[in-house]
Amino acid sequence: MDLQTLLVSKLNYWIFVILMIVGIWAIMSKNNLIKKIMGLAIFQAAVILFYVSLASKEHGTDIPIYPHDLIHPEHHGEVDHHVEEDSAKAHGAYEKHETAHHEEEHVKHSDDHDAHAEKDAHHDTHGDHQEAAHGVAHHDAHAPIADSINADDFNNPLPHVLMLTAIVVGVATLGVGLSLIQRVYRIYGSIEENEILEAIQNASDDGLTLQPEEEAAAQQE
Amino acid sequence: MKVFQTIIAVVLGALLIYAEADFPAWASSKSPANAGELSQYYIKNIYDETLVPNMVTAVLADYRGYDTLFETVVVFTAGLAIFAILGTGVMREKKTAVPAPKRIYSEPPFDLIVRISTRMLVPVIQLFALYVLAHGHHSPGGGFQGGVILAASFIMLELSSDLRAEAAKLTHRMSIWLGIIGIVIYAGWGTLSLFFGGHFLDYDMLQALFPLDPLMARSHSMLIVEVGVAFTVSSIMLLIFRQLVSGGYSIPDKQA
Repeated sequence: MDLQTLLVSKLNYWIFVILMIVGIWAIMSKNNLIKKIMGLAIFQAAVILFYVSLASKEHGTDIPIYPHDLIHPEHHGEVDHHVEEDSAKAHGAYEKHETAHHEEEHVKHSDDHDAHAEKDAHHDTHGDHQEAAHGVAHHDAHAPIADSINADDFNNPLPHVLMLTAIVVGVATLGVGLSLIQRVYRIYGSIEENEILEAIQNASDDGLTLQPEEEAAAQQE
Repeated sequence: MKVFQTIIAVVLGALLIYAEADFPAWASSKSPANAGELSQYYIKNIYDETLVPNMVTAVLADYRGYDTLFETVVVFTAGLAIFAILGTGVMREKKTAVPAPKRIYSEPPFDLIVRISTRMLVPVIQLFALYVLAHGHHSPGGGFQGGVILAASFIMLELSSDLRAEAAKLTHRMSIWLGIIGIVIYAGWGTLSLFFGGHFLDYDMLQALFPLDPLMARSHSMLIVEVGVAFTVSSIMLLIFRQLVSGGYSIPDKQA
């Protein structure tokens, strides 16, 4: 494999590897605990970037959301216009235009059911619910859209979901790590690793103690 | 210079770059992650099964409902852990190398322009947070994102003015309770479907509550579950910020 292919078609892995190595190097070689934790955060960001970059497809959408045209085909401008013109005319017109036919079904459905749908389905006459009920009618009237979808047209949603939760949980656990460092600083007065080790060795001389408060008090007595 | 660690890191990086040759090309739809049966199933069937256009929200709140529930619990637990580690402002350690600070952000060196403009921005940010939360079905968004944006608005307020005075308005106790309420909303909604004869987090069974359609019951249940997530995430993120930025001394003066 020549270098150009390795660089261009695998750029995401290059960035991932470089970020990850920076993170690992910081974790291993930094003396300052905060810098270590920041290395861990960089490492985590590299893994998140890796997952999200895996989700992309060449012809996929940026975000895995069904386009409006796909799930509401009757809202196409032309078709709508057609239906408005022909809605009161003969049925022959609907046979020609498949989508218009469906639209008519949808309209009839909502007309028939609007009366008691108002009663039993629309306790809340909020606009969102209206739209939702129409969505259901539309859904009942149409075949499922699963067969008309090419999976290559959408980015993979699964890595996005995994990383969405991982980011929030990562922030929360990073907070736990930082709070542990703050506690260490409060007791030893330093966040440098070697100074903390020294402080632990000299703990008895300095009067600093690792023991719980009660035991320390008991020893003093 | 840490020679040994640097060598390890460089060797590891070289090995990974060497392994890149075997990785699938970027944005290839034939890669194992993208050609896998599960993701293909999700892309094809999510709208027919849930009526939610945003696949990420549907997978997050419905297909992987257990995962999201316990991620929320992890966030809550992290908040409690930080509270336990840093203390609640009243310090117990008698002998510490660093004495407790007398005041946290009590002096007013804050710029008037920053304070006023923050105050003007905060309602807009909170409105946007609610939009992101409520529109998670149709556009990028959802409980985690909306919750974090909501928390960011409060954090902005506390950065630009006195931390303790702001903490007195929404106390730590309230934050913890809001976190609990969020988890109870999520888990409770899942448990509710048990009473209607389904499994845990089986939203189809809740159609008795939404007299529409099992699919709409799913769609609306996701929104409710996301609201629970937003409660927990926003309150716990705010708590984490307060505790970290003040070293655990963020409790309001009148409670200390």
